[in-house]
Amino acid sequence: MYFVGIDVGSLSTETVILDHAGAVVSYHISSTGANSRTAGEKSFAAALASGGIAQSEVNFTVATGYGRVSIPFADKTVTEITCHARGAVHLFPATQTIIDVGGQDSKVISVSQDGKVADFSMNDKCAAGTGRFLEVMARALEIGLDRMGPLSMRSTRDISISSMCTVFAESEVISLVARATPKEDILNAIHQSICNRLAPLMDAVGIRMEVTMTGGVAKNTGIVEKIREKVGGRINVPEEPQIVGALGAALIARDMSAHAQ
Amino acid sequence: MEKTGKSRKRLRAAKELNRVVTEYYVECGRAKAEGKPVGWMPPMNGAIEIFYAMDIQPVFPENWSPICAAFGLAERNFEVAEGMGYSRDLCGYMRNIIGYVHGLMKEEGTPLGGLPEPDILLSPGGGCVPVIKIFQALERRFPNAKVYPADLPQVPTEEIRQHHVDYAIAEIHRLIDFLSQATGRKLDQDRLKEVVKLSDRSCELWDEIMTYRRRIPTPFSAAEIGIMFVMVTRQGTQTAVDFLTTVRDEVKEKSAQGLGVLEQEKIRLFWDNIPLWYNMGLFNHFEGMGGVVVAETYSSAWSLRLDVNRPIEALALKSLKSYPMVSCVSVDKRVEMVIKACKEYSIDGAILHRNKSCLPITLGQMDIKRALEAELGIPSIVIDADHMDSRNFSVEQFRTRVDAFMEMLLARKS
Repeated sequence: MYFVGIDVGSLSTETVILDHAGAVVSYHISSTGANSRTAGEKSFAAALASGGIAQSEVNFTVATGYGRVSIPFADKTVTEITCHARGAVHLFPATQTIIDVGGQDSKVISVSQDGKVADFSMNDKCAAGTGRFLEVMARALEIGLDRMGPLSMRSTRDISISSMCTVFAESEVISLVARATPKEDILNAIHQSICNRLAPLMDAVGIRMEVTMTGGVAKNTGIVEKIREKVGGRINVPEEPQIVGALGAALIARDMSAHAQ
Repeated sequence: MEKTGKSRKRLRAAKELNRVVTEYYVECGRAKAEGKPVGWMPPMNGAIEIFYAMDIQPVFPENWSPICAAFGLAERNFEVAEGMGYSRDLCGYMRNIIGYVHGLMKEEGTPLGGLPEPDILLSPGGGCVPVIKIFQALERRFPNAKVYPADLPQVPTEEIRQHHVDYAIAEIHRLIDFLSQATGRKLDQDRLKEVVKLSDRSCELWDEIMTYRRRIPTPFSAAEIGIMFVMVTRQGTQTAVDFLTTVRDEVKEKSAQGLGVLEQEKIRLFWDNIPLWYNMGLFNHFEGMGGVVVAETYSSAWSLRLDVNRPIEALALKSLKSYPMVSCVSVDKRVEMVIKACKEYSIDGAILHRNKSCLPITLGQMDIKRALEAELGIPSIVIDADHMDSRNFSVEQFRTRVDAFMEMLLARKS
């Protein structure tokens, strides 16, 4: 008997499959592309295949993320705020604050002692300071997403990217490149600007330790370091931060299945 | 959920409202055709009663904008205004009406017959800056209209003193003199008393109707807030009193029978700021999760009772208080109003619409958010949108935020 969580985000889709004891049996990450329904189906199929599980063995499925309503085979939909909180607390039980930076949303979630969402704050409708922003900047700098963090650590000079809009920030980056500013300094500035965008969300909710970071952007060590400086303490980063939403959805699927019986 | 959509209404009076709205706009057009003077004015002041008392047809460009949004005409109007050079960052009411008077107004076949040209413009010197600028733009568009340059101090309601009232009274007298000269019509004091009495009665009925929303389950939700149409355009008329009486009777009956919007009302919500006029269906969205929008900023915006025995002074006070009450002339007062409403209506959570089109009313929201949490332990969520321009609204972002908020509230209650 298995429980599935599918997180159809704006940029990537993740599926996590749990067994009856709540252990992760398999997971899969792919890009969402133009069709969230297809992305969900493919991700689900790939996770089943990699775990050697038949669809008939799946007991309950919860869909989350922007595309959650387009997953026809989901038994239930739950928002990513609830799922990220559930997943993060499961991985790091002492978590009180979650900072999630996804493809086009960033959010700070405060959880109560019993692990429930107590409060949360999300970015305004502009996607600057999210994964999409980082992708645009990586392209402008012609550098892989995975190299951004390590390279930024070598920065020796503080410069700033002041534009709030992704498009304006991109042209700012391009003009810095044109002036032969070292890439590591530009990256450092990009990471700082993302941290600056998160700061009001952190202030609105209030940071209580421990802090766990989730979402694809947590893979960027440069940004995690900036947030660590801002928070003034250790940040938990899961081994695979991108699947925390799907993990939370799968855990909720397991709870719901138990309730249903 | 769609980007634009009408709300699902449950009150029988909703049908009656359609008739009232149509009749009002037909009346505006007919007044023009029959040679009756037509005056355009901003809403929420004491001039409406003077106009009705002197049998001058009042027209409200600010009311026409939600109508345009509901009929899907706003985008066309925005295009015209933006084509003239008005920035997309300006107030949606402003871009809509300026676009309308320079575009659709010159064409045939507009829903409800469109607006008749003004003979008089009541050009305000107070309220928000966009409303002042709208009328200045209208003065240029309608050069033959006689312009009354209105003036009023903008004072937080709690700081209104006698000299403010005296000045506002003098301004009402100046308005009456201007209208007499412009139209040749005289103001009959008995008729004015009658109009003020009707206006006061509509406020009394409004308050009574709102009282029933305190019941659990609530008999109607923000999906029906269109009933305030009569408070904007018909204050001081029998039409308003009759319509509100119909609403009151229905709501009273529903309350007595314990009939609510939802049988199983789980979460009671407060909506702060102006609704999205192009998507009133959002108010129904919460119902799927057991949530009802029980009250909103406008619930208490029409509670200004008028002293029937001193009609001019009553209208002066109404003019002084109406705008500051719902905007943030006094942030303290606005916070106080929201806190009071959330207590009275037994609210579980507040949705704060951060309105790109209206900064004056959005201004105090962080104070509201903090006060709700600190004083009542009520959580709130900020959503970004725009009361007129659907291009500034993302359905998916809205859904993610409010659904997560509902999940949080439901988990808290369980």
